[in-house]
Amino acid sequence: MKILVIEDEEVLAKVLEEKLQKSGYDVAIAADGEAALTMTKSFSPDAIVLDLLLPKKSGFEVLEILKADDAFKMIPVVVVSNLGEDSDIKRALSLGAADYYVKSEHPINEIIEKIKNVLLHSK
Amino acid sequence: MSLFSKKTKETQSIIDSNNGDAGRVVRAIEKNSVHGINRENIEQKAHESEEKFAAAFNTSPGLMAITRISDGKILEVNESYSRMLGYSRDESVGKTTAELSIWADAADRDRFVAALQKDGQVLDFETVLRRKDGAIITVIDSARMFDLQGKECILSTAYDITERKRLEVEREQYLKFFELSTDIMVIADPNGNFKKVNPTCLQVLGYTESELISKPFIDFVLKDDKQSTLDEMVRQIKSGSSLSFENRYVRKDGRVMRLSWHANYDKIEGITYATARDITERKEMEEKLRRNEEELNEAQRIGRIGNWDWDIATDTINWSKEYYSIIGFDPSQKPPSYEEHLKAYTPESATRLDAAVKKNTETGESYELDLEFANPKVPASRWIAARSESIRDEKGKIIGLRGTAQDITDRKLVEIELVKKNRMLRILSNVNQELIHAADETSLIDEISRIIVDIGSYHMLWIGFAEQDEAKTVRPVAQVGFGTDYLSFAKISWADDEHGRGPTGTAIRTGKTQISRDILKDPKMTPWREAAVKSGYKSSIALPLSSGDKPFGALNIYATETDTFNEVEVAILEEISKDLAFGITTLREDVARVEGEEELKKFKMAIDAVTDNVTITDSEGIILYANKGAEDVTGYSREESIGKKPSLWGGHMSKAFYEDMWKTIHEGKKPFKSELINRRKEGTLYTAELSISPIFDKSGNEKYFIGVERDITEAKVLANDLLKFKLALDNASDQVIITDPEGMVIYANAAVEKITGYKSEEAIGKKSGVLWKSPMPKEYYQEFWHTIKELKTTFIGEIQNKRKNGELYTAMISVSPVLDEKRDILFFVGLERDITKEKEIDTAKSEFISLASHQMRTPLTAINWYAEMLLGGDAGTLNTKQKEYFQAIYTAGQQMNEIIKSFLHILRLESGMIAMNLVSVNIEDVMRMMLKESQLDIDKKHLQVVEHYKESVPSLKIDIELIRVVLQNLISNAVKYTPEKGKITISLDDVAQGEIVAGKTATRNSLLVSIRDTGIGIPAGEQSQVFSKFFRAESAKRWDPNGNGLGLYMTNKMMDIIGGTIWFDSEEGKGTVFYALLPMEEKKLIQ
Repeated sequence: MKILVIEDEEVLAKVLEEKLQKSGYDVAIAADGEAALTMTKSFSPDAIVLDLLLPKKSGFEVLEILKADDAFKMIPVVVVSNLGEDSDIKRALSLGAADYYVKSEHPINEIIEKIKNVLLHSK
Repeated sequence: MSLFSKKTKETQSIIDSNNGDAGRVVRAIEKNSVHGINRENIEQKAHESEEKFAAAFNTSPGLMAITRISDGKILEVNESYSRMLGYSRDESVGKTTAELSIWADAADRDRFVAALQKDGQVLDFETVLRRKDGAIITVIDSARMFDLQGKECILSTAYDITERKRLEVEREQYLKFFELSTDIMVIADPNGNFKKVNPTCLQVLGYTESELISKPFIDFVLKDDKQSTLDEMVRQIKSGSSLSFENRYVRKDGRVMRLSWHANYDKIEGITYATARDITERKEMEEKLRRNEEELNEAQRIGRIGNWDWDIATDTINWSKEYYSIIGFDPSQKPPSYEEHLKAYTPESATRLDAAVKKNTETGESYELDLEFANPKVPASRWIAARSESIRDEKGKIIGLRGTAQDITDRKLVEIELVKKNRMLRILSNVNQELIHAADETSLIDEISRIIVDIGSYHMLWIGFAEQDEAKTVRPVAQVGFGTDYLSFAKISWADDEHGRGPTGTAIRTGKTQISRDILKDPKMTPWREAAVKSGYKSSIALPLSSGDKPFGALNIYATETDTFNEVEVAILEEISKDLAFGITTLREDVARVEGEEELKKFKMAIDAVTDNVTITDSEGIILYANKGAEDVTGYSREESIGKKPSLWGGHMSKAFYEDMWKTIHEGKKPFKSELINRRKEGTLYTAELSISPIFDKSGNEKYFIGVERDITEAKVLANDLLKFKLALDNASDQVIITDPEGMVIYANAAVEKITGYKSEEAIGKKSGVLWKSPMPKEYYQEFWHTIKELKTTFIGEIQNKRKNGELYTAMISVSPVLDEKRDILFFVGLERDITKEKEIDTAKSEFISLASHQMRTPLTAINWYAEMLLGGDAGTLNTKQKEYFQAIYTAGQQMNEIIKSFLHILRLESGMIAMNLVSVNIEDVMRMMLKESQLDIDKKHLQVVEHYKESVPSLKIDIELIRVVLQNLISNAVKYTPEKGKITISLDDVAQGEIVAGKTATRNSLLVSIRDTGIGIPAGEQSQVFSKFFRAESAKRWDPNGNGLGLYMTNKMMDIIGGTIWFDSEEGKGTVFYALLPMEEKKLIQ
């Protein structure tokens, strides 16, 4: 199973990578919105963990592009971001995000569990 | 005897090889003497050449002489020798040069001979020789020794270079001139380039020689003068003549130099020789001088002062330009002689002037005279003030006069005018006196006629009355002055015929003054012209005498000058004729006056009926009469006010006000109108409109003043209030619109234009909906009209409207119907506040908060996650101490997260950014959910939770997020501050409006939530601060140091937003109960 982590903050990306690898996934990291799109094509992930404030293209844009593309719209996207306004959450969910977690409010183990869950349900 | 005529062999040889060169001759002689072969042949040849040589020797332009060395005697000389030295051959041959004193300088001769002896020859030795006549010449001498017939001789040749020398010296001298000249000297080549320039030229133009030479001179000429300079040059080259001109050059430093050139063009050489003089300064001086003269002329022109001088001996007179102008003479002509010039004055002035001039020339006493000109070339008579003084020679003898003349025509005319005016005013004053004293009509007419003629110095005056007979005769009733028989034949009528169209008849017919400025030329005067001329009348005036506006006669005056009656005079005469007519009328209507008194009584009654305060005072201001209105307005009875002054109730205005009032009625003799404040008898002030009119007696003095006051106090107050309201509305920053019940705008304040772009004139008369074209949905309007038209209450809401330029804006509106007693709508008043900006600011604020929180959360996440991983053993097993420390980091991170969350909440609350999302909420469900979230802690502390929910509590329309936070805070506080095995009681109840619960009255139907605990309680002294930001009670801090003091502050804020109330009861050590009262009806909230 392959998971693409789209996260520009290296320290956070590292945690997600390590934790997901420990859980047995293949993990690739994309550090900006454009790399995210290229890597979605080349890496063909089974799930995507998406941050929202990203260089080059925002997470919202990435989400919109992926969900508009027949080839990728089935890939579940879990938003893991520190944007915590109701309006942000509503927007991401309406664009097709499978789940939304505000990073600082959840322990990493909890987030990993949720991602696992999403993958389980998407199967 | 010629040396050559001997035809010796030697000389033959000389001649044979002679080429006019002494050196070669010598060589030939030597040659011959060595090779004496073939003699005959040679002799033949020598003979032939001897003649040639002799000819050459003799015709050589240079001096030639052969001298024997042994005795220094001259053997032979040529013709040039004689010509140059003046000695003939015979005078010289056989003599030494010393004997002839040929060497002017004996030392030169010695040097010459020494050189010769040393080298055998001397070349180009310059020396001076003395001619026979003693003149000295300079020569270049060359000599060579040679052997002649065994004797050593010298052949000398010399060329006269005296002339060349002289030229050289001369050239030097000219060059010196060129170098030293203070004038510019320039030679220009055929191309117009500087070929040679002298130092002065360099100095004036400021360039070095190399900067000028070979450059076109025209390059250095001032731009404006280039063309004219070139034109001059061309003209000069064509004509070949020398010429002089001026132009301007530009110095290297930029200064403009004015040069006066004299140039000559040499046609053959193609070269221009030019000299120039720097006249810059001279020109400047000239310019200054010219300006001074101009200024003097200008000063004279402005001052209208001219000056003159007169040389008696030659009878020469000089006049300044202005003097010509003042006197009216042609300035291009010479001044006339003294006698001639006297004719320019009136005879009277000429006589005075002549006497003064004579006195001045004889005694030296200067004069100052006002003189009148009668120059036919000047239209009106002119007056000058003339002054003189004498000019004396060294011995003190008077040889001339000089003086000034100033044009004082204007002043003089004014003076004359003034005299006339004074005279007229005197007439007027005397006439007025007479009007008062006259007993009957005839004496009035006679007396006034006499006054006018006597004081006015008129020639004749008569007064005629218009008879109502068929012929419309004008009957003379008075006549004073000269030419009294004029009238006997005048046959003047006032009919519209020949005899009635004269000034008198016309004046009576039209009621207008008629003036005949020049009787001789006036066609209307034809019937009377002859008689008038005979009597000496030159102009006349006929003034109508009218009763009311009906003329009944005319006052006629005749003068001996044309153009006598000027504007002021006519005005005063008209005044006099009016007074006279008034006097006549008054006397005639004496009887009618008695009847008039009856009228007055009626008048008085009328005035009494007026509600205004009408007061009549005498000229001193003493009240003579006051009407009923005066009593009503002022509160003073007639008895109280009569005999007093109006200051009884007046005198409360500024000093300036009363000064202005008196000035208007006294000096201006005009009615005074103004608003003023007076005081009633009982002490209150009132505002009145006042009008005071002066009434004059016959002599024009004030006799009475009539004052009318209208009390406008009430109107004023009303108007003031209205004005204030209008001003307030006009200047309000919110839009204020008033419409009729149909929505048509009847008032729009200034803010309407500022916000919408529609001017109030544009808005008024239009329907509000048409103007604003709001894009709001239909339902919005349905509710809007329903509220204000049917419910007849105020509608408050947010609306999007369109400005005139199409721009959308967001506004809060409040529209209220204004109802009459029957609750019918009179009109609607709409208030609108543009909140577009506020909205924009809110959006910006919200974006900032969101971003700031994100930025804080990211590093916090890193801390929390890594601490979590370390604690979870992701980096290997930790020892106890490490675990303890990382746990501390983790806990602090969690706390920090909570603080950030709280901060964000507060920021949103305080900036009013919480968007109310009203949904139907069952509070009981929310309560249970919140309890569940705290279940872990409840279990940990073994707390007992009791729930009392009233059955069938209605759902609330409320923001679920807000109520969740409220309930969560209350529950978690209760759990947190209640010791183990404590009890928490939660209850939910409905409360009707007006019901009192826990000491508070419900203002609306509400739900009451209460959460009671058996916790540590809040100390009484700190209870008032519980809802303050960051406040934590001492007991709470002791109980749990990890709190941020924001929970209850936020809860309270949120309750505010929801529209509810929160309060508590607490006892330290016993427990606390929190009450939250939630309104059942939704609160109309915008944000």
